Amino acid sequence: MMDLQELCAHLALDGSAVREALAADDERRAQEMPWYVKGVLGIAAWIASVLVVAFGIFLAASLFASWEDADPFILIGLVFFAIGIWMLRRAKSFFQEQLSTAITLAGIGLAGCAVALLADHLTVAALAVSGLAALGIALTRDGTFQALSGTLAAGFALVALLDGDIPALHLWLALPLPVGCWLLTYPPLRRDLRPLAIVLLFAAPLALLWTDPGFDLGRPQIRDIGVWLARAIAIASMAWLLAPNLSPGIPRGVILIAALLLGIVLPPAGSAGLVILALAFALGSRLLAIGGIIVTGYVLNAFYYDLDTTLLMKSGMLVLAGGVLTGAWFLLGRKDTAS
Amino acid sequence: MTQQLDLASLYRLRQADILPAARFLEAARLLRDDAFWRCWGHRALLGLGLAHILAGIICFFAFNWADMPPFAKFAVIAAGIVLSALSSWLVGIHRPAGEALLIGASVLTGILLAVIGQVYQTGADAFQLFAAWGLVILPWLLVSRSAAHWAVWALIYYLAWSLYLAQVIEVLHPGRLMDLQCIGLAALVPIIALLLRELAVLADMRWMDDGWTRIVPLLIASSHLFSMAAGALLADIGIALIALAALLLGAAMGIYGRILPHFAAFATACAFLALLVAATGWRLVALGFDSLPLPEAERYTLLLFLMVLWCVGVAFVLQKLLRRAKPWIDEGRP
Repeated sequence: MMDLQELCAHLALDGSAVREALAADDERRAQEMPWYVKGVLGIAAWIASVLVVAFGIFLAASLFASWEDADPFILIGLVFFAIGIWMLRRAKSFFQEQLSTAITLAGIGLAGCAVALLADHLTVAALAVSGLAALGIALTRDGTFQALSGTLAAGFALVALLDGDIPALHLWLALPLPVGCWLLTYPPLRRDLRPLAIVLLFAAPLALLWTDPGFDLGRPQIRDIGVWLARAIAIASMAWLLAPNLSPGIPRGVILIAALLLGIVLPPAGSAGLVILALAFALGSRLLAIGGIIVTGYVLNAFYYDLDTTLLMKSGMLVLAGGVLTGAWFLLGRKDTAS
Repeated sequence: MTQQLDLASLYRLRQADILPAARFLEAARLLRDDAFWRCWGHRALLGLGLAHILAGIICFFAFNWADMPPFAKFAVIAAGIVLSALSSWLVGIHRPAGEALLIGASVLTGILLAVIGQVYQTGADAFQLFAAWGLVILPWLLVSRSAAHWAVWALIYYLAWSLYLAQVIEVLHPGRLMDLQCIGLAALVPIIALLLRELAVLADMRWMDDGWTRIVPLLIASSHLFSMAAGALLADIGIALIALAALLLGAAMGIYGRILPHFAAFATACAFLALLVAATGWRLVALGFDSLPLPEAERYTLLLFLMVLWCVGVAFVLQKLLRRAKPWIDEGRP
């Protein structure tokens, strides 16, 4: 692990510019309140925002005669969105940030629901919500807003996908994974899009786990070899991208073949869990590693739970697999000690 | 210039256009602590292997459990208790693994009591099981120097006391006021646990000095006091209960602000008191508006507007108070 001086020398970076950029960040971090105080203020802000939204709706209801039409709610939603974004851009304290985030999200949600009612089509609503969320992210720099608006848009998109009876659903659900992976490994200039990237990264396995863990091999969609192959290619391309960072000693070809096989053999959510773990290692991120372990653990649990066999057979399989894994741990430990 | 960097620093450098995107992954690899990840991988492999074996053993017993005679069931759990306790003694009671094994033996004792109750259908109330469980494991607790073990014991008595209040007191004395009093009385166990914890730390028992041993009981006690006061506000009964909750939360603020300075504990008590003040204000506004001669929609709009103002005002005061209190509480810490 390198320190600042070694890293600057290795990558030929301007040392004084690096120090200046990091010093400003350290100063900002030092002035921040502890997380639990932020939590308390955040809860207070969200309670206040519920009251603000209720107040806005009641005010609009006294102005517009009918509760039945969806049109006024699009307008109310857009007004909330505009006010929220305006407040968020000017927020000076954590309370103000959270209050304006909640108001903006309420606006996006309200407008999305009203569009869904008006157009009688969830895809249109998902597009409207995604557009508003993207506009909000482009206009502001708040991490919480980025993560929550991304989650809201992902939620609307998932409901629209499930409602639409779309072919090759798994591929659509897995689409955010490479986007999140790309945003984390090739970060854009001047903008911190990590919260959005993490939402996209975890949206795929969570959606896949929610819709279908993928172990029921009797379903027509699962039997579609094209879907499996396409997924394997997607995972392999990501492995190709990350290969130099995963292990410089192992040739890219080996990692590529392993990724292809994993993509074909594993259920979609399991593959996504492994991609997150590989990304965690490539970036050296402990937080991502915890997330990857939770997803992978859930997939393993679903696998054993869904097995159509007796508890005695499951017990034998579990002990056998445990023996192999513990044996691998022992052999690797011995190899490490010897070297 | 020997400053250590982390991944967040790299993202910062990327945003400042100092680090090119094409070299970001390379920089991340150079910063990665390979020794940590090797160790992490080994532990993950071991954890996964042991979890599989343990799940396999559980599945094996689940498969045969219904057909096992009662004494075989008792013997399996009792063997687990003996093994855990012996292993703890062999590993060393005051080492982390030994502490975990002794906690495991304590938990298995509760399971044994539950299985005995299930097999013989003793008809005892649930609180008696928890009370007996706490009593049986007391000797282990007295030799243990683990805060986690004491927390498990406190949790057992908290459940026993809460169940006693719900299954005995509320049945013998039915009524809304008694329900609220019982919610408040359930706070007694965490309050006593907190007092004992502070006395133990003052008596130089350093193993009890972790921050969570203070925050967790304070959080449980505060939520009980707030629930009691909020219930009293909604039902318009027991004004004394609201005053008592406010008084106790204020006392906690005073203690953790001045006598035993601890900002997290101070902020916890402060937050619950602010919530109580906000709820009281809302209730008073709502009561005042009930008698206003206005159409319903306008009355609710005005009511919500005042509630928003009150909520933002309370949050503003809370933010100011915490911001000002932090430096002098941090300075006052030993």
